[in-house]
Amino acid sequence: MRTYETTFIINPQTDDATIERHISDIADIITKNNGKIVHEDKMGTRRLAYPIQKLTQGYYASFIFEAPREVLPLLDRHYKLNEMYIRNLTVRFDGKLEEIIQQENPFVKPNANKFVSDKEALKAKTEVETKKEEKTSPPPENREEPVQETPVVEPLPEDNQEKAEKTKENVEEKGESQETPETNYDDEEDQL
Amino acid sequence: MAMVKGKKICRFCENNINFINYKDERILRRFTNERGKIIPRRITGNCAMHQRKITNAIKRGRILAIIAFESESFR
Repeated sequence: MRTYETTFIINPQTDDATIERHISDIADIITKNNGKIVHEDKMGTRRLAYPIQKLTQGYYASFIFEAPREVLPLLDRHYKLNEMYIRNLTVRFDGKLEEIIQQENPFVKPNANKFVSDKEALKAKTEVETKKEEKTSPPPENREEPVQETPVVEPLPEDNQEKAEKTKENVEEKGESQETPETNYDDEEDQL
Repeated sequence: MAMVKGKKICRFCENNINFINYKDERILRRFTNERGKIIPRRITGNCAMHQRKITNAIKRGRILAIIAFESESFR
């Protein structure tokens, strides 16, 4: 049994219940064929980088699962037969699960911690834990906003605001761990 | 020519990152230019392994409409 990751985009122009049903359909196919779902991620509605079937937004969701390889053609068939899935991608999963789970939703907020080394991350983790509780509450609000006819421009300033707040907090509580990655990014842009 | 500063070090090796998430738009954007093309290794300074992983991630990201295949909006 191998670990796979399947990501798909659902047409968002329906009610939430049908979206949920299409997500659980995929889960059913995996579990009914001796597969096991390791991690589920509903990333929510996001603007597509290019229009697909004249749609500009899509609902993203993904599963990381262990399953025998017979499941893959079944999944593929299901995707093909149902027009609600506008894109899908199933690949062998080669990352570490813990890394994925630690990462915040990349769609909601770009992860500034990417370039922090593991050791630093562990150090920061204990300090951040209190903050994480605060962090977990804001994302759902952000996810819903783009659905309500806020296409392109708005997410960015929000991120900046959040960042600004974040850095303020950082300066007070812990200067080093989160600021270093940001400077990394800046250096990089100068070089390029 | 005169721009050469010295050998660049692979940022991913330095920070011990071995998995590049193809759903992370920010990373994919970093290694593509305005046209959406993948920036070559000689400019990014990545090692072969990480450049390969990034390339794969970018190609997957394109399939999932996370980044564009190409864009002409900049010019």
